[in-house]
Amino acid sequence: MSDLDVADTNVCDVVIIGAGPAGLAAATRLAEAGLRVVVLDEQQRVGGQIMRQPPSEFRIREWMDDAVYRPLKSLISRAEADSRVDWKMGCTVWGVFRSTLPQGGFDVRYVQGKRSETLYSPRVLVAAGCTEMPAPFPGWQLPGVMGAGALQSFYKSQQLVVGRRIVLAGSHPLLLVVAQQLARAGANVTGVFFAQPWRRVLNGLRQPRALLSGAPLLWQATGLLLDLRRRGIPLHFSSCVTAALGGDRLEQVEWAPVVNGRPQQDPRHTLACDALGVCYGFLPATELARLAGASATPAEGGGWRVCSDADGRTDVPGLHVAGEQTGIKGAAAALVEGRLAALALLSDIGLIRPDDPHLPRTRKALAQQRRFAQLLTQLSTMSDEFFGALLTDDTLVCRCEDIERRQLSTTLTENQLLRAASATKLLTRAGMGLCQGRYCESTIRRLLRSQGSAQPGGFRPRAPVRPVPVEALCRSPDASAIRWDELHSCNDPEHR
Amino acid sequence: MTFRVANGVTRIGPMTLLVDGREVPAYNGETIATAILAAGIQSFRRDSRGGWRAPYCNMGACHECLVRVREPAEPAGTDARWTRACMEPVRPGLVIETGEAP
Amino acid sequence: MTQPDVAILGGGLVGCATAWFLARRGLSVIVIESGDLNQGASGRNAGSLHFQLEPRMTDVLRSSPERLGQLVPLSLQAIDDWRTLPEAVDADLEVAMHGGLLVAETAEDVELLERKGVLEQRVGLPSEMLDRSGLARIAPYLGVSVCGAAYCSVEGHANPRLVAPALARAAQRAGARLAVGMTYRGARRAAGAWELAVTAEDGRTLELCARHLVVAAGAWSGPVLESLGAPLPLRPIPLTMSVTERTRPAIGHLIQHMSRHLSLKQLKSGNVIVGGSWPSRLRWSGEVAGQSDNELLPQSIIGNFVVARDIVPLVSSLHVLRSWSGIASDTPDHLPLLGRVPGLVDAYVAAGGSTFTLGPTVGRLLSELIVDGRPTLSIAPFDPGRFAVRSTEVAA
Repeated sequence: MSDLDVADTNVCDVVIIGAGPAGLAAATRLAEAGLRVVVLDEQQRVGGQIMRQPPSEFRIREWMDDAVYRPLKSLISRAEADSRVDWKMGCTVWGVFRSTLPQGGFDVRYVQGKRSETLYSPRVLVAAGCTEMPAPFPGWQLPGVMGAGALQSFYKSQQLVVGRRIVLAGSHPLLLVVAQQLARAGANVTGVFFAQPWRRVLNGLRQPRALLSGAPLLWQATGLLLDLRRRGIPLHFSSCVTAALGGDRLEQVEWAPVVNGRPQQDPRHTLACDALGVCYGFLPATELARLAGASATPAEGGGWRVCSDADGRTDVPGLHVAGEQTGIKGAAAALVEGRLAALALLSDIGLIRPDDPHLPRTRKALAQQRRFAQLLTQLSTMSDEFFGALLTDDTLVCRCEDIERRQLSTTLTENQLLRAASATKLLTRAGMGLCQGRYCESTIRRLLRSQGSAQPGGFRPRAPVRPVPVEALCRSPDASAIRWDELHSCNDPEHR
Repeated sequence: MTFRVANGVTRIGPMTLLVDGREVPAYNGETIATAILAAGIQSFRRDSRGGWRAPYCNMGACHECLVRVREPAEPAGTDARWTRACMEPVRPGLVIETGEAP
Repeated sequence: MTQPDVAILGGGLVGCATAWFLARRGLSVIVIESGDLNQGASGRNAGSLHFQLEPRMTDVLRSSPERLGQLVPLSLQAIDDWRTLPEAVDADLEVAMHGGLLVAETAEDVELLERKGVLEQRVGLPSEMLDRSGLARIAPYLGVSVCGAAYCSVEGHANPRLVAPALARAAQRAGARLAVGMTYRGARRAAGAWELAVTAEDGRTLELCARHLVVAAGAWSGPVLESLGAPLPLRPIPLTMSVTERTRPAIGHLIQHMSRHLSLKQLKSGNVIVGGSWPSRLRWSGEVAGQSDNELLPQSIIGNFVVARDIVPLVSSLHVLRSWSGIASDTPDHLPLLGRVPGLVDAYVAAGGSTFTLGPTVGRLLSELIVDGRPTLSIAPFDPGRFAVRSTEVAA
């Protein structure tokens, strides 16, 4: 295998994927130590999702002014001003590969503009965050139905209130925050539905720093609940939306009481609305780390969390993770984890001592954050049975390929020997669309488990982790130098 | 209806985009999705059964908000490429088609 | 099923096809598969049905062309088998046999194609040379650098994700038993039969006796044969395939390139599948039922599409949706292993070579070998005995 002709411009000390709290905390700490750090993020500005900034062309008075956001806002402005870091924004990473170079390291491929580019680095920190937990129900694909996080980011970042009559539904306390934010902005929020009993929600709110997991502090929560009450926004507990109804778009929702963790058939109510924000939780977005070979285990409610040691090292040397990658924990914990990952990297490189006191201190801070985060996840994650009951025969399981549960059931019945999610995907096409299984893998796994398959596994993480234009690939700087026979030699015994 | 928050927000513009042949205003820095939704258009792409889809995740993961775009300078005959409306910033004169991707 | 007539190791295309043919002849069969059916190369290959002599055999074409002619009778049978298979198994396998083009961009490649054509003519495989104007008529989507091609009207593709499962269902209807999540651990001869040890997923070890043993485990056939004391040279070959988003139907043929490593086809769904034996990095434990988790090489994905774009320019307006890797297997002379395992009694192997195209046919021939003692087509050129590394004592 001939060496990649690596120009100085695409070599650095650490590549960080993700400019959310974890990525930013790590980047600034590493740059402080004098390392060459490159940060890649698809978004136009740093901040990740919870702190998704408005376009730089907007001027906004009092953006995210709550006291609890101050540390993150401060981190963001420090980071943006930090010219020691190479911020590559609007860049879509499509794969992290173990390099074929003799010294190891990673080949990070991303699309910038119309070209695919490559970055070589001995170390990669993946801090790519999470996505919404998909919770299919009839009509969830209708225009007007979106994740509550999406409704929130349209408002928070784009300063756009979507819909005239807005309903929020799910199980995550984020729903309360979004309800208040939208109501304050002048929106008409006509109902907030929590699938859990109110006691369970309140327990979730008793934890400090809850706001930075999207959920509010207890004292804020009390204020929040009173505020929502004052505005006349109906709050329903032990209730869930069972269907989104309409022709071309959402016109009303159907909702029902939840008893013993299951939505009831009867009574069913309807509520007119044109926007529905759904949030049953989040799944770690770990395709990149897993593609690069890191081991992972099932995360709560779906998805995969990357296995790592206490400081974020995966079982692939040089590959580190921080933030939601190792389990949903919220922005505050992600920030600490980012800092810890940076310290671990510095220690591995030899720039700080392994017994540096910052390490145990940061680990301790993280442990506290993690405990709370775990509790919040437990309190806001509904059971497999609940999600199974939401799904009817004509509910779309795979949105991209338009595959209903009915089709999956038929295939499973006709092929009794099917047990694995990957085999099911192969046979049904579910998971083969543009979202690459992000919005259906967890549902398919649940279906298989309900059919008795104890360990259905998941879809193999595949490159590219985002669809890549062929034209961009062909414009890659190394495109014309690639030789088929040279590539084959990478499997010769002396190279393995 | 869907509305842009006005109180406390200063935007630069508007510029004009063409969405399905109709002129639609947009402001510097907005995403295509914002401009489309603010114009009261809720349908972005057609699925295989003739149904419509619209943004679901607003962070580039779900690929429901796909639209076809063409730069103002491109000749009409060129194949318009599809893009995630929630990720792509607006530019003056951008020509956008809903329902055609991919 | 107390003692099946035949135990088949491997639940891929060859294993399921063999099971089906055997069950229809009245034999009791069990298929033993350590994972799920069709998860190896069988389910992951690009689905090409290519009957022309393969480009990868170019060096063999130069040195000993008569060897390639030995594959053609199988290909002719395979053409027929693919035409009749969907109805026979009562399933839509998305078989499309509307023609294949093996393209050339240089005079040397054209010359190689012509030589190949002569050989194929001699043995009755239908193929003809097309020049630029001929190509412009039937394949206007080809790039301007394509100056000629060998056209075979019956080439095409089928859907590898559907074939083995359909054969498995048909085999079950015919009385075969398929056991998934069962890992083969070893086998020995005892009292005129094969005694196999298999472990179930819950850890229980089961013993199974069968008169005949078929090794149809794809690349894993190597370690299995090793465990039987009858090693044969089978190399695991990690390949890369990619698929694009859907686009309107425009590419009606199976496209292959004579020298630049490309296979390309458009599926019924509209997606374009691109392959051509670009490598991925092998992660291969070499164990009997080991995992294979090949790592993709970005250079392979890029290199593959550089060629794809040259040959079918419309591809440049598409996105790559995903790439994946599968493990094929190959022998030193590129011909399959098909027949009795040398040095063993009542043991057979079918592995190596382009076994998607020839899969159902191989199943047929193996079943004939087992039931009738001889197949209806000569498989002598594929005799595993041609590689016997050492002679092993035949157990009584």
